[in-house]
Amino acid sequence: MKRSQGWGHLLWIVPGLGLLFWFVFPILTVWRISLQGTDGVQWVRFLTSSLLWHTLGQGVVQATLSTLCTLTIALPISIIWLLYDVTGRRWLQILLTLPFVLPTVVVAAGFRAIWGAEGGWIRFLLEWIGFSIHEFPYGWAPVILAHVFYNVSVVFRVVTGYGSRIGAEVLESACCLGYSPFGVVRRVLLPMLRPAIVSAALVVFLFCFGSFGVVLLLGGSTMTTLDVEIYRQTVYFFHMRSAAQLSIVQFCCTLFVVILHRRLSPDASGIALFRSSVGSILGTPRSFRNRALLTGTAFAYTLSFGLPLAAILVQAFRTSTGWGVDYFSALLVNDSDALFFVAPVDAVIHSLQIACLASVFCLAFGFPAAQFLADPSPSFRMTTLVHGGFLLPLGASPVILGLGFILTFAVPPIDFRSSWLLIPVSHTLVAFPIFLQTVIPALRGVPDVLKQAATTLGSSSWHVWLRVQLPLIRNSLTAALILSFMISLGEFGATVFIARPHVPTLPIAIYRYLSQPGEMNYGRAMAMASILLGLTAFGFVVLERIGRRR
Amino acid sequence: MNRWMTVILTILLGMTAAHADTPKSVVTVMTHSSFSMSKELVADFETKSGITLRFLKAGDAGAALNQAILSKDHPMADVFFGVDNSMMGRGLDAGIFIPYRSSHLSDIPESLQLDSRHRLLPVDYGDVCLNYDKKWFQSHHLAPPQSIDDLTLPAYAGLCVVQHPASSSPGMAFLLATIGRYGEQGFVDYWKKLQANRVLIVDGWKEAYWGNFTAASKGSRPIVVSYATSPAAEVHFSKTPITEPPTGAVVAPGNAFRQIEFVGILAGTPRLDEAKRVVDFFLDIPFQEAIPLQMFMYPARQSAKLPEVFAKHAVMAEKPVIVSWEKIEANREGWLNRWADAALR
Amino acid sequence: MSPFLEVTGIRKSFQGIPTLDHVDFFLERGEILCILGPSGCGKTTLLRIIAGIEMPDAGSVRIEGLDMVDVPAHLRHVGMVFQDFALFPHLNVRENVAFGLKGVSKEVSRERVDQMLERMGIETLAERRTYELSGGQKQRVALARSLVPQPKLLLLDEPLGSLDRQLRERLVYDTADILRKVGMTAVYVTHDHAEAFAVADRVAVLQDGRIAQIGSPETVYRRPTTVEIARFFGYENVISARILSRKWLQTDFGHLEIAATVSGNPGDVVTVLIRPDAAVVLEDEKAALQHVNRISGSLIRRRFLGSQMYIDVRIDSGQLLSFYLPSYPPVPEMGETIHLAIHPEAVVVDVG
Repeated sequence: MKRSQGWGHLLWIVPGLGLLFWFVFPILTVWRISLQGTDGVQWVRFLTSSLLWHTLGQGVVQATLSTLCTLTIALPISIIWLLYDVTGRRWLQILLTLPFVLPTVVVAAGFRAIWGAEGGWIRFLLEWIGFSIHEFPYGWAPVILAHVFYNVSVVFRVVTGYGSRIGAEVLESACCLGYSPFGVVRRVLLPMLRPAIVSAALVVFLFCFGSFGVVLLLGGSTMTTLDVEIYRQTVYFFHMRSAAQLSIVQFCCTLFVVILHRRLSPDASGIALFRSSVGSILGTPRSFRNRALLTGTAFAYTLSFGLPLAAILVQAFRTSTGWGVDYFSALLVNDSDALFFVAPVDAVIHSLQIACLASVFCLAFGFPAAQFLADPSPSFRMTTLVHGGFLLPLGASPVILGLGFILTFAVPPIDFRSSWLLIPVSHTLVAFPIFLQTVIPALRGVPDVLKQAATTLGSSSWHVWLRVQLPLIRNSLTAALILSFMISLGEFGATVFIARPHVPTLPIAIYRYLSQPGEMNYGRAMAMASILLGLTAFGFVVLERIGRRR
Repeated sequence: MNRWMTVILTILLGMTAAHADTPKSVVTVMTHSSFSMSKELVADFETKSGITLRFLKAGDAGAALNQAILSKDHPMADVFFGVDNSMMGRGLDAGIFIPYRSSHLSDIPESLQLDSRHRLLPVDYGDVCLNYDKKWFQSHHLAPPQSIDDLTLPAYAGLCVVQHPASSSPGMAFLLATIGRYGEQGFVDYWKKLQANRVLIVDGWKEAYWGNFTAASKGSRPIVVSYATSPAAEVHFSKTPITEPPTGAVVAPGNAFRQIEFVGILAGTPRLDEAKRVVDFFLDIPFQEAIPLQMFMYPARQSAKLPEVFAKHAVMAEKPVIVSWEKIEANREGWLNRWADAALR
Repeated sequence: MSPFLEVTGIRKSFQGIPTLDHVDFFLERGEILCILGPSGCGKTTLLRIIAGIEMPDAGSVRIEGLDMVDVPAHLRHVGMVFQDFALFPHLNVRENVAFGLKGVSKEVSRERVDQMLERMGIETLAERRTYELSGGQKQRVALARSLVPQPKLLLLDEPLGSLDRQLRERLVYDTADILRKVGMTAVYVTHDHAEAFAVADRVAVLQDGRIAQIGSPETVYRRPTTVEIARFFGYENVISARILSRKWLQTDFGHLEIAATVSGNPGDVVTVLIRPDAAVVLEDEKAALQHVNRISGSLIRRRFLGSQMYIDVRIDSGQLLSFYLPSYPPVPEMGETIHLAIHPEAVVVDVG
């Protein structure tokens, strides 16, 4: 349906202005200040420097390895989940998607609880099996593992969402033509899933290439990515010029991947980050042997993904006097007269408030943008440009963004710097691309036929939008809201640069407690991490129930 | 749907109410994440002076200073607490501090007043040196290290954890100690040997001390770069009363680096008088006497009394390594790059 | 010698509701059996059980004497054409058709595929993608694909169901021809009896989860054994009659001479059916008296169908009888009295 109404063309203006003011403007300010007086010679020197190429090279290698590992681990379980009704299907879905919104500080804490210095009994278990681990092995292994842990969720959701549209008949006919189940998967299912796999792989690559928290916390001194290097150049060396130049390179890389994504995956409407979950294609596995095999595999995955999270819960409930809720009750007590004590309850409430605000912002700015991008515009170039623009925050270094906020919103009367508005805004920017990629496919999925039918029944285009389109995308819209909420709850990277001591968020509070000695502080950090886990798990349960609602 | 909208709106309104007007005379102190002070002391000052103190913790010392420099046209704070002598050159060159000759300066030794123009005033100092876990060395029948030379010996392989000098100020101080000790060419060889001896490099002091030091964590390194006052801290914070510190510090001549911390008033502040009063508060006896137990540094003022645990267990290096701040500022980057080549690759 | 396909005692329930309740039939090699039944009666389920995609709750499937219980679907060499064709969207037509050929060299594969495409008349479509094809073309590709691997048995699940009537009528003969030409043993499932009669050697009517009647198309159509089957074929003229003798019945509209033999004793009341296509219009009452079986009534409904006229006649008892009449002799107008002669062969007895 052609977008004939005039105002439809202008839908992108308000979100566009928002993006311009809150994102482009601060970043340009940082670039302007940092690149003052940089001439061509210095640019050439930068572009040929080992700093740039070492960082890029390592980033590409690491991201490729991470993506390959993620695909290897995510595809089998995605295919199994897609095809069969394994026991605990719903919980597996939640467990595999949960890591996506967890802050790096919690994941790092979980990993360290298993391997690191604090995880006594788990390390004992591993040593008993034969792995002797003395120190936490900073470096490539934990980084890639953490990346896999995070990004399996992306591959899983995208592939299962896309694959749910495949009917059982196509697979059964391959079966009747003489192909064993493995053959069917290899020669029919995987080729049919190719667009989703390619799309997911590119997204995962982008995330790993631009990884910040994971590499910073788990990578050690030798590992770097563009984001981490920008941080180091800014914070440790105060080389603003290099930092700005690196961030420009980062934007170019992001743009490149986004364009590549559009080229390789033109069927973007079919690929969503959230799709109403349907039942499996083939139902319950028939033979007992198959059932046992599949349940076993699903169980293995549940165990692997649940282990870091379980480790956190264990640390939260295991006090020095045995199992108890001491750490949780300690959250309510302000037992220190130190000046900077962060009342954990405050942190939780702040996080919830900020998350509410961020999701409302996402809705207010994201929905018009999504509406604009969903209808095929007469000018395809324009849509691509706008879409790319809205996806740019994916490639923004949190350091530059934080700095940008500090430097830009300083001129009176816009003295926002210490304002509480900055944090929800930064969360909105981070969650924005996800919001878009959840709502746009839903909008595109409303059959034109329905809209046309409503028009012939006498509805104006406004009415059609209100009474036909809106109710049909209600599920995806709610899901997008909840996803934005949860992303905001768990956001750490950008917040750490903008947060103020009197406005802590939950991840910041966890980080602070983890940096302080003593088991009481560690316990409190784990208790708060458990609360965060509980909140996000709850959010996903709600999300999953919405998905099943028709 | 309506119900949810009401809930959301109520929360939003609540937020706007909570973050309403800020009171008038507020002095913002920008500092690093290790700053700590007792609430009572601060509250006491606030009542007496009528000034509200707001602390802006902006990351570790280097990061905080960078932010202050970047925002110098529109300063985010009035006072900066926590520039140390390894980075004061950067702050002074950027011209973000204005001179203030506080009356308390007369009580502070000349050797600490590195800035003759009093743009940065010394507030505390400490010696960065190696700490070792006495119990570990006893149980392993090994003599604890006597100097930093020992770290290159095979007997001490894989036992030491240090901090990255770019990200950690004690890390930087230790690097400077090696530069002072071995010279600008020799320190590279030293670090190469350290790297061959499997030294562990982590980002920050907390991670090194509370993450990997055997005496303070479940880590596996019994030697750590820390402060000469850390053994006293161990005694003070010990759960059971002890008479001897469980850790020792290597403070032999030429083995420690004296780190001095400064406070300064940021240029462009509209509240100059109040800022001066806050600086005076930091240099005043009550605050100075609280520094040892809050931040485990020595107070700059000579007449400040040290707490007992400090007097008994804290040590000071007799002849610490000294590198001038001008030299540090000029060579910092080159030294860091060469260090990275030697120790990381 | 045991039959080629033997289906015994198949039972299948879904969520407690029995869909198939003791299905028995057999099939000889080279025979085409049509399973006929209304939508939702379980025909597809039965087919899927034979293919091995679905497992029955009870019963067995034997192909060439071998019990298929332990043989998974992909090893049964049973081909299946699905209702919506299920073509592989990521392959073109040639690749789709060649999909089932394994273990043969490229040249042999290409040859056989080309041969099949030619036979189906779709050789020009070889490089097309599946979404570019029309319904009829898709059906032929699906059929070609399942025939190329030369399966032992072919199952067809309403293969013409999604096509329009004209196309269907044309393709049904083409399909039957192909199957006969290659000598394929097939089970063809449909709800359209015209289709079934065109294709099948034998027809099995599936009702209430069982095979209600099985026989040649003519037998099943002309002599349905139950009223439900008759209704399924479109019979509406159900009347009760009293047996007068072996060849004579007493009905509401007069005596009826029958060609078949009715079982039962004189005086018994039985249910009989009158086929709707076996009536002839008589000019007037005088002509009617010359015929033994005659029905007179007023014409209630008269609908022109092209080559036939569909009428509803109300007889004296008030019952409505329906007939399909040829265009000639001409049919009276609405409301007029109409006289019809019924051929004795048109009466179906022994309807349970």
